[in-house]
Amino acid sequence: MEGERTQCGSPIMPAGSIDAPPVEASSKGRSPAPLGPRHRAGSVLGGVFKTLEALACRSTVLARVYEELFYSPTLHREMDMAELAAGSKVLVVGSGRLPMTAVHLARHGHDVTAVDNDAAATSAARRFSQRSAAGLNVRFETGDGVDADADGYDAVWITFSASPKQKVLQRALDTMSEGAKAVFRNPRGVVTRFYEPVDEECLGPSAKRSRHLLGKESVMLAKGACDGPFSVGGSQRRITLACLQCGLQGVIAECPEDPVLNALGLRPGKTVVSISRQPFGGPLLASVDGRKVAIDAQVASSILLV
Amino acid sequence: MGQEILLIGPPNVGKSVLFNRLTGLDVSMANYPGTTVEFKKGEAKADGRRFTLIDVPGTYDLKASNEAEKVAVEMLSGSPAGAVFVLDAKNLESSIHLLLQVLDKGIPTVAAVNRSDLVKGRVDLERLSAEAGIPVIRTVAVEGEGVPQLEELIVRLLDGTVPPARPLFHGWREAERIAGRVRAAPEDGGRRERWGDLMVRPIPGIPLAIIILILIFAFVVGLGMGLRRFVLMPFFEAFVFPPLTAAVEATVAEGMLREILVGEYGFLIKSIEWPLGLVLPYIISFYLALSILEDSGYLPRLAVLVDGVFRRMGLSGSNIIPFLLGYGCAVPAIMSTRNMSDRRKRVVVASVVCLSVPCVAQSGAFIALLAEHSLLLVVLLFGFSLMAAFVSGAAISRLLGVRRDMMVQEIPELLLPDMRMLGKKLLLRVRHFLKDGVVPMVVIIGAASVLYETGVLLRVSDLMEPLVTGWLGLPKEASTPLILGVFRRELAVLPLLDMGLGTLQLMTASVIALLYIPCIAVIGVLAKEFGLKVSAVLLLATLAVSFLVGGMIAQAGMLLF
Repeated sequence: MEGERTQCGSPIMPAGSIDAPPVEASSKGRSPAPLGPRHRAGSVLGGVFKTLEALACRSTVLARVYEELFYSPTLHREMDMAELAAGSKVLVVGSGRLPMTAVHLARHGHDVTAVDNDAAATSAARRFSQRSAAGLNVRFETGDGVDADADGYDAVWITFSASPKQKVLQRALDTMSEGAKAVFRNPRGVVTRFYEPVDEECLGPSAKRSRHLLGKESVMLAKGACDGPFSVGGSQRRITLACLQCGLQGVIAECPEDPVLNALGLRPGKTVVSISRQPFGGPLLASVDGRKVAIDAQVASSILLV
Repeated sequence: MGQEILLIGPPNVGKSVLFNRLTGLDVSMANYPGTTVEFKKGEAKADGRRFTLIDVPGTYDLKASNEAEKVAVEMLSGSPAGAVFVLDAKNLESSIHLLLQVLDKGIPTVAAVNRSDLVKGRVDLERLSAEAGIPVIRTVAVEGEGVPQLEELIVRLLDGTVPPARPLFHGWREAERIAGRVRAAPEDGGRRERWGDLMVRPIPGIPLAIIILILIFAFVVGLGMGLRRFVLMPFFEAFVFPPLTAAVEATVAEGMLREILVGEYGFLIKSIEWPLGLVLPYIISFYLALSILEDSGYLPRLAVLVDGVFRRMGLSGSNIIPFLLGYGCAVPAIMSTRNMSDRRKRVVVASVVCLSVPCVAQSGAFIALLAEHSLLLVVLLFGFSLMAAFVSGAAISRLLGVRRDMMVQEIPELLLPDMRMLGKKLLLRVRHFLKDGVVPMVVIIGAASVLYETGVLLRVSDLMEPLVTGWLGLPKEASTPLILGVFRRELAVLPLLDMGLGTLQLMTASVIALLYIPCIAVIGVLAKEFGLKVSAVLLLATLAVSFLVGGMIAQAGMLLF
């Protein structure tokens, strides 16, 4: 009991930055991984949930209440969107210390594998499921979502605080088989300031979404159906300039031949940095060779990155 | 007319500054791409030799895909004695790419690498010269550095001692290769660059933009009113009007002539008071604010922020520049649409500027008219102007079936405006107003005062009475500004000053004056740019809309109060 408390209460400190992917995929739960400024601010928001989860961690009854209260409605809508057959194989990325998503999916008869890159979180999750979810079909492994192999799974769940979410999602879509589903939770509205979102521009029109209270939404992508810049199926899966996260850089692979675009430095082989972006699909500001260029979001989504 | 030398290069590279250095003329310059849309010609002298320098509009390419590029291509295909190509030291690749296209034309060419002060280290001029096969020098146009050397090169062009350029391979691969060999390290922008980036981020960019725009409005109105009330009007009233009146009264016998000169519509008084006392202060305050905005490089950032609003009008945020210019004068505003690729979009911008953007002279008149009554009316009218701009823009673009514009625009670095340059620009614009604005205004005021004193205006007022009094609820004499407004926009407002109108009448008259047909100069530009049909349609449309909306306001107001 003593050991468990320290486990549950200890701050989660994954290392690394968005630029250095291999170490992340944070612990599960709404307590955000401290990843840069937006997460520090988010911890205020997450504080309430952190306390709740710490309590849930200690008490089986509280955990069950917490699960039913906060996870059940979300997961039901997500399972509806994904149209999962009973007994599907599901991978949960970023399951965390209190693996509510994984346990709840298992409770609904699915065969669940949960991964988290924090070994302490994995063992805490194991202990938790032994107590609260005995007999359910759920396994916990330590591993990084960025390297996860989704082949053979019917669906991949990416939790709210998994990070870097876009890369984890990309990896899942890359490795899963045709027709498999990816479900992830995105912050929306002001919450995007605190938690890292997957960019809107990267989701094709076939993405299904379901909005929740408190600035969250669930998004479901089916491999092979997506035709957005993510273009899940087929060979032309690429990230475009439109979905390059602010502060990150990419190298242009293909760019429309346009005299102004080309003259401003947007040409294949050029390194481009995304600086900021306007709301409501407005232009984004990028920098090429130290030159600042404002580019319409639609034009930016026609610029493919390597 | 001497030999012709073309000054050519990409946008926002400082060609106009060089042009002014070489000719002593004052061409408009600003820190945003595309300032020179109509080319400028100037006589210049180098080493005692006269030649004609032509400032070619800045283009990124010579594919002739917009008006500015067409002008550039046409001029290169003429038979100039030579071309001075201006390269941007900060953006060598795209400069070289354009240079290679210009060399293809086979004209004797020399090159100046401008803005060299903005890069650390030096551009390898010898290498560039060897690669391109033309003489190359370094300039810092704003400081005047390198101008004497440039003049020497121009003399060589005039003498014919520079051989015609030989076409090289062109294309991006080649431009990148050459740039890679001659490039200097770009300077780190530091704090100013971070500020520049912050201003385009929605937070704090949007609140900051609102604050900046409010400050500018306050600055323009405040400085203008202050100049008028405490400097110009007291000066005229103390030192100009009394001796003038006395002189007239001493020499001209009482009667019609004296009335025409210093009476109620006294020509001598009004032709000083209106243009110089009422309008000039706002010319000064507005163009000072606009020049600061232009030179600081804030405008393109504002363009990014307002893109969301402008796309509802089928335009892109970049089109905010013609709108802002329109608050000065509609003529340069319409001219500045020349670098837009779609003619229908140009018509949308021109229509909106004509219909609902008051020029600075008219704004000054509005403030003079309304602020006496209540400052709230001024805010209300400018709010109405913005709303009308948005509504008419959205409606016209839908009518013309304009498709959404995709914004791709360079965002230049933020620069601290140079005081000398600001002063020069302000002086230029004030001089332009004194020359092209005051003279016609004085002539029209003179004609009007003759017509008034001879009773012709009253006769016309009788004819227009049903419309003006019945539908618009204004006094009979309010037909005078409507007649004069055809000639100058502010004259649709100024005669209302002494009519003692009530709040509702003020608002009605102001709205009509705002939406009323643009002045004669603008109609001329419209006809030149878009043809007679478009300008005729615009004329009728603005006339109809102004009477319709003005009348609706008057009728609704009369019902309510």
